[in-house]
Amino acid sequence: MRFLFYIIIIFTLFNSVSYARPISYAGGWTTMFMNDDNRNKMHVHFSPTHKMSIGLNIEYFHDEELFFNSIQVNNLLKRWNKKKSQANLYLKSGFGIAYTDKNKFDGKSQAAGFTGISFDWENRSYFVKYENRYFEAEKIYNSFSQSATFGIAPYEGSYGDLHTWLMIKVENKPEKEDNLTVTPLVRLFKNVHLFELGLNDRGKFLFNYVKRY
Amino acid sequence: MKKIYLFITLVLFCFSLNINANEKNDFKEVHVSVNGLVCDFCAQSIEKLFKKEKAVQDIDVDLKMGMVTIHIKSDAIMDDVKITELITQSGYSVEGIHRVQ
Repeated sequence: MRFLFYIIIIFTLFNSVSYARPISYAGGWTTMFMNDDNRNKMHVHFSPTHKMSIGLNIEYFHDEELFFNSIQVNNLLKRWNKKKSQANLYLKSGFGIAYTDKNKFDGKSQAAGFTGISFDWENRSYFVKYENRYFEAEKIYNSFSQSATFGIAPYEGSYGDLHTWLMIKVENKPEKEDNLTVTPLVRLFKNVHLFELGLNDRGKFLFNYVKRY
Repeated sequence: MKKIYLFITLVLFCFSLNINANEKNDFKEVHVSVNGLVCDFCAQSIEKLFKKEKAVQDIDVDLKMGMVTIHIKSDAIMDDVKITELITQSGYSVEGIHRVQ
């Protein structure tokens, strides 16, 4: 298990990771890596249609010393395509195995899953997103989290240009003592690559990367 | 007899020049106004799906105008139904299609 942890860390550090739409075009592949002070996550998915994707999800929760490996399915419940904007409502769910080596749960593994919705709206200058997630590994760890992200683009680039977004992400985890985290971040987006780099109000870094194929 | 051979050769030569000219330069443009076209990932989705089509010579995406320009090969056809189908598969919707010969 420790070996798997090192693979995830190396992969995330040297290949990067991320945060964008959970579904690609029909036939498209996407690799996403997300790292913040709470967890490392890698998600690789394939989209058989533009309304659904299926893929592998690997996560490590730092405080809980918990690994979670799952099959994740993302569904586009509704998309609103307008002339100058787009909005999406997604359902994200995963089911797999959780494993922890923390304290009394040392070496314990069990079936686990999560589900949540995500709503985003954007035009070429503004971005808004709300997302929540309920995770359950019954006897090991349960959690609910939600976040809101607001972004503004200082300029409107053409297709192929470097696109820059200045964003702020507010995350709430009710079960934590210090349950609110604020993370200003910069999103850089060029061709098939999307990077996000942020620093939260506790001085911890956020680093996300997405690549589309 | 030599004049006849020369005449036939010239005709065939001119005919072949005409064919080559058509192959290199003559393609049709289709302008498609697309809804939801707000980012590079959107543009890439459309570009990748259209470039898989044999009828497509090239494609340009204008995010500012929400416009996709498809260059179709001179000897190929791509009707509005097919264009709408590909845009929909990319995850977006067609507002209008305008053809330029």
